Amino acid sequence: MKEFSKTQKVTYNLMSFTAYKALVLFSLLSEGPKSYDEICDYFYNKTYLNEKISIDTLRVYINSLKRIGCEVKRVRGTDKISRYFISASPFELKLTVEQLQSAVKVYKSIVKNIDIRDLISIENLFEKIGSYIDNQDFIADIKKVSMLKDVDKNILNELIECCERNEEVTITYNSPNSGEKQIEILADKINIENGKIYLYGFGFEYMQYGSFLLSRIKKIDDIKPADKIPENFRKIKVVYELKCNPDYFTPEDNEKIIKKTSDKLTIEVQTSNEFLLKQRLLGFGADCKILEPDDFKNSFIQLLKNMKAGYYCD
Amino acid sequence: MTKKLTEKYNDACIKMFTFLKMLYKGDVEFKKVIDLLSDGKYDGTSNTHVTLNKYLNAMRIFGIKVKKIKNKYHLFSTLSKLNLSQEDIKSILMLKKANEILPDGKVKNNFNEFIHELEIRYDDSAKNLNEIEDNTDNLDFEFYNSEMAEQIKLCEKYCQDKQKLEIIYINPKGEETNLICSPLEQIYLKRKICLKALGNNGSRIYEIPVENIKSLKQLPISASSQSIPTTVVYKIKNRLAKNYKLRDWERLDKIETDNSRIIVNKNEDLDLLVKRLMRYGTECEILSPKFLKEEMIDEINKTLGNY
Repeated sequence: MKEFSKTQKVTYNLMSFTAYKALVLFSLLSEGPKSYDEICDYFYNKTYLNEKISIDTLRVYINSLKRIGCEVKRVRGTDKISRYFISASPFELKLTVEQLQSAVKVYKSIVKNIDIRDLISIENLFEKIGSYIDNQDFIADIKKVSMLKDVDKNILNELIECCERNEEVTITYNSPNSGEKQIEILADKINIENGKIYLYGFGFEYMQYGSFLLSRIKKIDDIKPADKIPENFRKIKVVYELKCNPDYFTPEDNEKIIKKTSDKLTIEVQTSNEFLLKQRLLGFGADCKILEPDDFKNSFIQLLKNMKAGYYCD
Repeated sequence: MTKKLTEKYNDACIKMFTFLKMLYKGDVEFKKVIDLLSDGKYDGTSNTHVTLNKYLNAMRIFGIKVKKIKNKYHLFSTLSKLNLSQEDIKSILMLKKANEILPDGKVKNNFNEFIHELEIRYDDSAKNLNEIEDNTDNLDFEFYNSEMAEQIKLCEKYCQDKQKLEIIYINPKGEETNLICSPLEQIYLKRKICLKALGNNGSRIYEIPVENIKSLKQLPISASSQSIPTTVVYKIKNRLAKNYKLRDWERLDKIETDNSRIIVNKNEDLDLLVKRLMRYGTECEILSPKFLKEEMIDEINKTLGNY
C-alpha cells in the first residue's frame, strides 16, 4: 500500500487481480442479471482493470463462485441473450433465531415509551431486515408486540402529516357508544397514551378538544386546509394550586405557571375538554386544589363525591 | 484443478472467498489464514504471507475493511451491503441504547451479534450517517446523558447482585424519600428508565425513575426471594370498560352482566396505580386488597377535604 500511496498505481506486486476481479464480478452479478457484453463493458470501464474478460475466463469465475456457495443463475430474455445473476450467496444477511428473538425483546422493552415517528421508523427497519432474511416468524413476532398492529399505517402516516399542517380532517370513526360515524376534526397531534395511539384535535361535533383512538379510525374521508380554531369553540380557563417540588413539574402545552413558591405552584390552564382536564387533576389527588371557576370546581367536587359514593353503595 | 472444462475453477478466487467466509463467522487467527492459503503446507519459507497481503489489498481496494488486531483478522465491512436510510440508522442506535440497560445475558449478547451483522454491512453512506447520529443528542431517551448512563449501569449491576439496596430518591411529590428494597429490573416507563424494586415488606412494588435517585447503597443482606408482590383487583365500567387496554402485567378476570370488567393487576407500583385509577373517576373501583381500597377512599376524602 505504501507503493500505491506514492504512485497511485495498482500493480500485480500490490494486489491479486484475480481476487479483485472475482470481487467485482460477485458485486456486479449480485445487482441483477448481466449479459457477457455488459460484464465486459463493466470490467473495461472499471478502475484498475480496464480490460475485457474472455467468455472462458467468465465461466471459470462463475464456476468458482458456485464452488464457494453462490447460486449463479442464467436467464434468457426476449432478446435471446443469456444473462447471469447471483440469486443467493453465503455473504447475505443471515440472522439466527436467537438473534432475531433478542431484537423482538429489545423492541418490546421500549415499544410503549417512544415517539410515534420513532415507532414507525423502527418497524420500517424491521420490515426491511425481514425482506433480507428468510424468516417468516420474525415480522409476525414483531407484530405481536407492536402497537401498530391494529392500526392502518397509511391512515397513521397521513394523519401525522395532517397534524403537522393543522388540517381539518373528516374521518369515519367506529365510536364505542354510537357506532360508525363521520367526525370532523382539526388535527393537532398524535400521541401514545397507556399503550394506545390517539389522534388529538378539536372536534366540530361537540365543539371541544378531544382524543380519538387510532385503531377506531376506519378511513379518512376528506382533508382540507384550516385557517385557525373556530371562535365558537367552548373554552374555559381553570386555575388550580398544586403542592409539589416545582423542579419536578412539567406543565402541559395549554398550562401556564402564574405563581411559584418552594413547595407550591399556581397554574392556569385553558381547555375545551373538561373531561380530559378533570382526569389530569384527579391524578394529582389531594395535592391539587381548584381555585376557579366555581362551576368547574363544583362539578369536580361532585365527581369526587360520586367516586366516594361508589365505594359505599355496595 | 481441472476435471471437465465446465467445472474449471480458479484457486485464488476460492481461497480469497473462503477467507472471507471465515471472517464472516468471526475473528480469524493469522495461522489459520496461512494454513488456508498454503493448503496446510506452510514451512515458513514460502511466500504465502505475500499472497495474503495481495488478497488483503484486493479486498481493501474493493472496499472491504479487514484489520489485523492482536494476530487476528477482524472484518469491519462486508461484500453485500444493506440499503439503510438515515431513519434506519437512527432506529438502530435507539435499539442499541435500549439494549444497554438490559441485564447481561443471552438476550443482550444475541442482540449485540444482531447489530454486528447489520453494522458490518453498512455502506459508506450508512457509516457517515451512523457517525453523525451518534454525535447528536436529539433522541428521546434520557439515558443519553453520560451521568445517567453510569447510574443505569450501576442499577443493572445491583439487579444482578440480588442484594438489598438503600435508596434515597425524589418521590412523585418531589420529596426526598429513603427506601430499603430488593432491586428487580430496569424498565421503561413514560420515556424514563426506572428501577423496579420490591419494598422491604416484600409486597409493594416501586418504580423509581433513575434520574430521581439521589443515592444508592448496596447492603450486605440478600434480596427477598420469597416475596410476592400485592395483587390488586379492580372493576372498570361504561366507556372505560369498552376501551380499556390491558397492561402486560394485567389480566381480565371476568366480564359482568352489565359489561363492566374485573381486572387483576400484579407487579405495578401501588402509588402510581392509585394515581392512575383515580384518573378514571367514577368508572373505576378498587375491589381488593382492602388496604389499597382504603388508601383510595382516603385519597378521595383528602381531595374533598381541600374544598
